[in-house]
Amino acid sequence: MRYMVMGAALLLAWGPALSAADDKPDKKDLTPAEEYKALIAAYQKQQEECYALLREAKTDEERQRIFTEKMPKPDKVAVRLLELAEENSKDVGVVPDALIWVVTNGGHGADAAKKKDKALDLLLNHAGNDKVVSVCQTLSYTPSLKNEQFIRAVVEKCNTNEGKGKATYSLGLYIKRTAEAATTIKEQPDLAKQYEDAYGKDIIKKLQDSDPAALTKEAEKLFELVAGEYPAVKMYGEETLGDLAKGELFEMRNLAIGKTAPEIEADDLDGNKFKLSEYRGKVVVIDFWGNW
Amino acid sequence: MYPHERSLVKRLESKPFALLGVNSDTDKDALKEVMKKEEITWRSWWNGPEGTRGPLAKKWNVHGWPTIYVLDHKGVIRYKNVRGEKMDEAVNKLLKEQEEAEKEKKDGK
Repeated sequence: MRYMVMGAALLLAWGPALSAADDKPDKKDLTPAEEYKALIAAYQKQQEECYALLREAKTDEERQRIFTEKMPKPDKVAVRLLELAEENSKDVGVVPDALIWVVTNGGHGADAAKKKDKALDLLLNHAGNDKVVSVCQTLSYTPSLKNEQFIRAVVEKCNTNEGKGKATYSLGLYIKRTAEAATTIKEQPDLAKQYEDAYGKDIIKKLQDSDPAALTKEAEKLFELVAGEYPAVKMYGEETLGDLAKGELFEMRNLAIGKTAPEIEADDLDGNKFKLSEYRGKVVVIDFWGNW
Repeated sequence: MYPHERSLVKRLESKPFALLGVNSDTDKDALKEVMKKEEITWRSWWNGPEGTRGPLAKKWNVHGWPTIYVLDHKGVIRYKNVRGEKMDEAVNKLLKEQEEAEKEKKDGK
């Protein structure tokens, strides 16, 4: 799901922490880059072993047990990577990678969120590094003051056309989702507590005080900028920022609540053409689905 | 999704209501097997051989599945991504609006 929901992942069990850091070689002998590589390799190896066991498992109970007992927990790795980043703050080789790992793999829950915010603070020193651009996209899914601050810093400091375009697009997505979340909270105030638990009080207060219409306008401006200035930059493989930004603009302008739905005219699964407008006069649920 | 949608379609059989799909599967034969098994009777447009990257999902800027739109009897988008009970509530409310509009039209005559 691409909009802001409290991830089902929050419900995952926090079992006893088996850390990849426990069986690493003596870290004194390693350079920061070597230690980073060793930590990640051990973590991934444990993860792969767990996936192999999961594939063999026969029942849901067995899968749940394997998941709880064998899936490596990212928290200890994250703690060490943060130390590594602080001890070697000048190292531009490994530090951004280590911090990006903490931001994108740091796990869920309040403690993980604290580590993520700390990593973002340290990563701000590298906001001009093209490596951090991909983080912006990940951050755009979750309402957070730190996330917004970080994406804005990358938009400002990034030096390459490609990086600036992608970061601006991510900022547009962040603001658009913020506008949607702000609307939801205003319409359903009883959800505010739930949102606070998931995202923290500060950001929810900001959303409650915000004007969703103004946020929507800001997001539109950002997508217009992306479509105008960075149309040829590729994202997600073959898509271009131009098409992606135009898609967002079309949705905001024509597919918003209160707009008349655009016509759909296409073949059904048997190859017979039919139109959405044939159903005028009826209440219609349109479900974009697939059997996967 | 399927069981909820099946019961929704069944419950509103006699009402001015339609569930319409935009399907993004690429293997239509395999899909038809599933539809038979799952008793999926409602009509779907096909998003074409490009699957999720097909023209309908692209135009409607769909990047996540399922994506749901609920339209009132005038064709206006009223809700997005409501599921389960929330979808039922939304549809019931819009059916009531439709009934009232019908009644007004009759009384006006």
